[in-house]
Amino acid sequence: MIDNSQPLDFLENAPIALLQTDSSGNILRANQAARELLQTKIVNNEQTLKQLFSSPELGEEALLQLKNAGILKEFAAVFKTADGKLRHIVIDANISLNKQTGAEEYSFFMRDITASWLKQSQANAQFEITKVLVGATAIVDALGQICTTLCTLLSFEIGIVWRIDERANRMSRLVHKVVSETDKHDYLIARSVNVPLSLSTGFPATIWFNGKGKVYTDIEQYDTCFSEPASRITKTYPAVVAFPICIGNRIWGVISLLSTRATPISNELVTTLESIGYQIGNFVDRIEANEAYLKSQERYYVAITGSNDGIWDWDLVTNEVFYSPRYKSQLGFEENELANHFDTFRLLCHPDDYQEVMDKVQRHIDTKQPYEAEMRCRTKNGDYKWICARGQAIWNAQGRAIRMAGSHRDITELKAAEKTRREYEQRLLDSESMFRQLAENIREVFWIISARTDEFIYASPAFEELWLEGCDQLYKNKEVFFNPIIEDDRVRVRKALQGLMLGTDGQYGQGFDLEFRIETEDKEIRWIWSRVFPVLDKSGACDRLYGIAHDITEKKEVERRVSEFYSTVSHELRTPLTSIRAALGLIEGGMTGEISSETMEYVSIARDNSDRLIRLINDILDIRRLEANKLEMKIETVAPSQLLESTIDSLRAFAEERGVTVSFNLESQDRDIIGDRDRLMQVLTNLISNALKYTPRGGTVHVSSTNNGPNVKINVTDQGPGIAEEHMQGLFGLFQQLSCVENEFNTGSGLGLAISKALIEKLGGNIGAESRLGEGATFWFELPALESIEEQGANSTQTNCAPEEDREEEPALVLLMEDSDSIALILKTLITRTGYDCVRAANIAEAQTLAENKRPDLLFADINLPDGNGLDFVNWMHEKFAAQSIPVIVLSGAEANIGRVHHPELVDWIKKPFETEEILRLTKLRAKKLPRRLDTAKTTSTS
Amino acid sequence: MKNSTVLLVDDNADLRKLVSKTLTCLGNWQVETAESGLAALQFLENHRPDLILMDVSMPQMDGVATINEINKRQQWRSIPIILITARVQIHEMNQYRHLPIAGVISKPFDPMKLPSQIQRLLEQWSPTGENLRVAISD
Repeated sequence: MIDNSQPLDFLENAPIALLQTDSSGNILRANQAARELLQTKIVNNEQTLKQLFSSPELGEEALLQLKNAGILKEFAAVFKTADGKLRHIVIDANISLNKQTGAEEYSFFMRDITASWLKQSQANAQFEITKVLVGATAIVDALGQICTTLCTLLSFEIGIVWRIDERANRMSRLVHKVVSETDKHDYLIARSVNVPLSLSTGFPATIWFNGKGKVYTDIEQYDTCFSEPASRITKTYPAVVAFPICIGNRIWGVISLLSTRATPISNELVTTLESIGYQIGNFVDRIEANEAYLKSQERYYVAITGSNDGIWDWDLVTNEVFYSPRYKSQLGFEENELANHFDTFRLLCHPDDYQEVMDKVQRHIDTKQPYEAEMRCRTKNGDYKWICARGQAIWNAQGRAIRMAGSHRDITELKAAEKTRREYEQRLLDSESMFRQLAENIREVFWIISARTDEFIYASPAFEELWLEGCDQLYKNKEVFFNPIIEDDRVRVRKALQGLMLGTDGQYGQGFDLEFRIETEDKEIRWIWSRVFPVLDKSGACDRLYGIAHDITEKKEVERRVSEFYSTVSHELRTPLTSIRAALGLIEGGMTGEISSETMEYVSIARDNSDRLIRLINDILDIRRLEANKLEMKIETVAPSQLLESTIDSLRAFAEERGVTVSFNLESQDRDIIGDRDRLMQVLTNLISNALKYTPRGGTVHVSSTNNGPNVKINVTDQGPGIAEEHMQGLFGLFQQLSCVENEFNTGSGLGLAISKALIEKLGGNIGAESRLGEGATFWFELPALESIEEQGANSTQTNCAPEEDREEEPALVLLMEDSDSIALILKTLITRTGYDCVRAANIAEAQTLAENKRPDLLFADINLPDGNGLDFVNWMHEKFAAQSIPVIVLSGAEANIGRVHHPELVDWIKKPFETEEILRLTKLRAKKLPRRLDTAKTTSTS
Repeated sequence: MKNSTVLLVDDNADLRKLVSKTLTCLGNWQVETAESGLAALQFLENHRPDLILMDVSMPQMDGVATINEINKRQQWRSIPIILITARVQIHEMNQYRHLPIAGVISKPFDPMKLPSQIQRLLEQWSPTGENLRVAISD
């Protein structure tokens, strides 16, 4: 026996909202989910389906469709719940036959999509607003369109925009747009024309005071609207939202959207509206800049038409000129102060302009083309005025010019107006590009920091996706930005932003890129790439800091995998090659017994080519590291003699095999150079083995080191076929091989010179080649000599014997704590070269004595010192001289371990091997005093 | 140094054969081989070679780990160790920088020059010295 109540129970508890009606739409039953959705008890047979719809016509339509088609699919509707809220619903329905009564029953399945609808409408709103703003040219029109768009998309009925006056006394209504057809808005429209900007006004003035968007739903809390009890407004408008239009941190105006029907408003919607407020702000800024520009253009035309011209009339035969009184007074002269002769003009016209003017006169006389010239003319008090001259000559019957007359117009103001116009144009372009950036890169995190208050004044909604914190939290507290950044990166990012704001480093003027890691709540590390750039005010100080950022975690992961891939490939290729090369070497070396000379020939071919393959693998790895900018360089002192000798030594066997002699001489008195010994050997090996390859049997390759000013130059000269001029161009490019050379020489990978060039340039030197076809070639590279760098340092320290009273003027003193003599020498050279004084300590004990006696302004610290850990000294020093807060640059082979230092905000971490530019940049950045000017130091020392 | 003993540790049988041949023919070395780090440690329990040539990439216990094990035994520390490896990219070389070794020879190497390379590294080596010299095979 089947229990009829069972399927009903099932339907009652089903997770989907279900409603059944008879064929005329009277509700028979509704399950629990439906009652929850509609927030009401449904009493059977007393309500009709139509009543549930926000508009009964829509209900009618749904029933009709169902009747006609027998089925209803994804019918979109808006229901009004019992508590007056609106829900967006999708309905599926079908018709069934009740077996007991034989009557048709309609079943409606309903899904609540309010949440996703809200999201969708937000995205639509953002999109539509961007569309309106990109196309608009007038503020009021655009704001009207925006009101209409927002009302339509977000189900509001009236939108109002107020403009806040310059002095922030009043809000005056600029625009109001009514979308619905009710006449209920009369009161609101009458009240909202002029609103005093004081806290007691309540809505909408509160928006100006809070600077944020707001939903006015709670009547109790906001007890005034337009200075009257709030109930007058909220009674009529259950849904009210308002948000500011911001230009940076200035609030330009307020937009409010109101509806007489309840409509859903979420917090996300408010955030979206706030960001739209910023977008509108940028637009307004752009348009206002445009209007200012047009005004300046107007002034330009006034300057042209309103001026009072001076007249001149020149007798070309006698060279007498009539200058009108206006002509003379224009330049500040009295009538009798200027002689009526051409010489007067010659004297007044600026010597730089004179020739051009006379050329134009001549051209006019010769060609009868109109004459117009701009020039500077000297006034009585010696200033120059910009003059625009126009004129016309008179020709006699023989075609000779006998007279020329015209006007002089003072265009000094016009020129100035033109200059202002250009400035406005620039401002317009600036604000426009900023606007575009915001509109187009809405998916990137975009933020603005005010340098004055050191606060975030704007961040795009994407910030919340990456940082998982609200933008409004960020505005309240900038630490919201820094907190998720992992400790090792945080100080660096903070310093970079501060440095940019304070303008402590000139080279940051264009902004820079930052990469840092943030840790999400579930301990996941995300890599963030960011570009930060300052916007300067008129005085050149930083006014705003703009930043964009996006997630590059995936890119980083790809980079890591690629690098891993290369490591593996390198190893996997080398292992079998090792066996091949070793086996061939043993056979060729006769270790496996005598072989025929023919076999020997073939084994040599195999061995040659496996050597070539090995070089190719090495080169490809080098190129890949160079391209990824991953090639690390050591910095050490290198003696050219040693470099030449050991390189030539290692190539001796190859030279013998080729029957070529290598000669070398040192003309550089063996001045040491700074570089990476292994890398320099690689370059020199490459150059010499190329030279050996191209020099015919019996010839000589000559290697020399010469002085070239402050540099030491290494030259490799061959007696090869030389290089044609057209091949010189791409000589140092990738995969270059000279096609003019016969095949047997083509044994290199074609990467050697490209690698050499990159290496030498990375070491701060130059590389090049000189050759003529048929006359051999010289390849050379040059690097700065250590001595010349030291000399610069020495010159600057000579002036150091300054008298006591000059102590204020002394440059910063750098304490260098480093146990390695060669690194200390290089660093000392670098530091003194920058114009600072430098004292060196080889261990912690020395450093302590020096710190106490000399009070350094900056410390360079090594970590592994003979008598302890450098970081302990750093902590000791910061405690001892707490007041000075001495900045520290740690040089270490280890990864940054900032956790061990007590004052991480004072410490920068440079990983060895270090780059010289990085050292110089940081020294300048951190030392609070200016370096001495090296050029002045030089002149004093030589005079 | 006639008939000095060298312990060659490499998991690649071809390489063991080739290096043995090279050092026997060209350097008057007596070559013993081990195919893993563990086998090397076992060998050292009963023998005292004059030199250890050690590969880096080996299954289970790699060359670096084996060297660290060797270094734990006071009496083994005076045996010079030379790494012979294909892992010679800079970030890989940095890992060897603090190892108590006499040097690194990169693979592939020229067998004819191998004995002199080893000789050069041994001349520079002292049991207390930490300076790492890298011989490049070409």
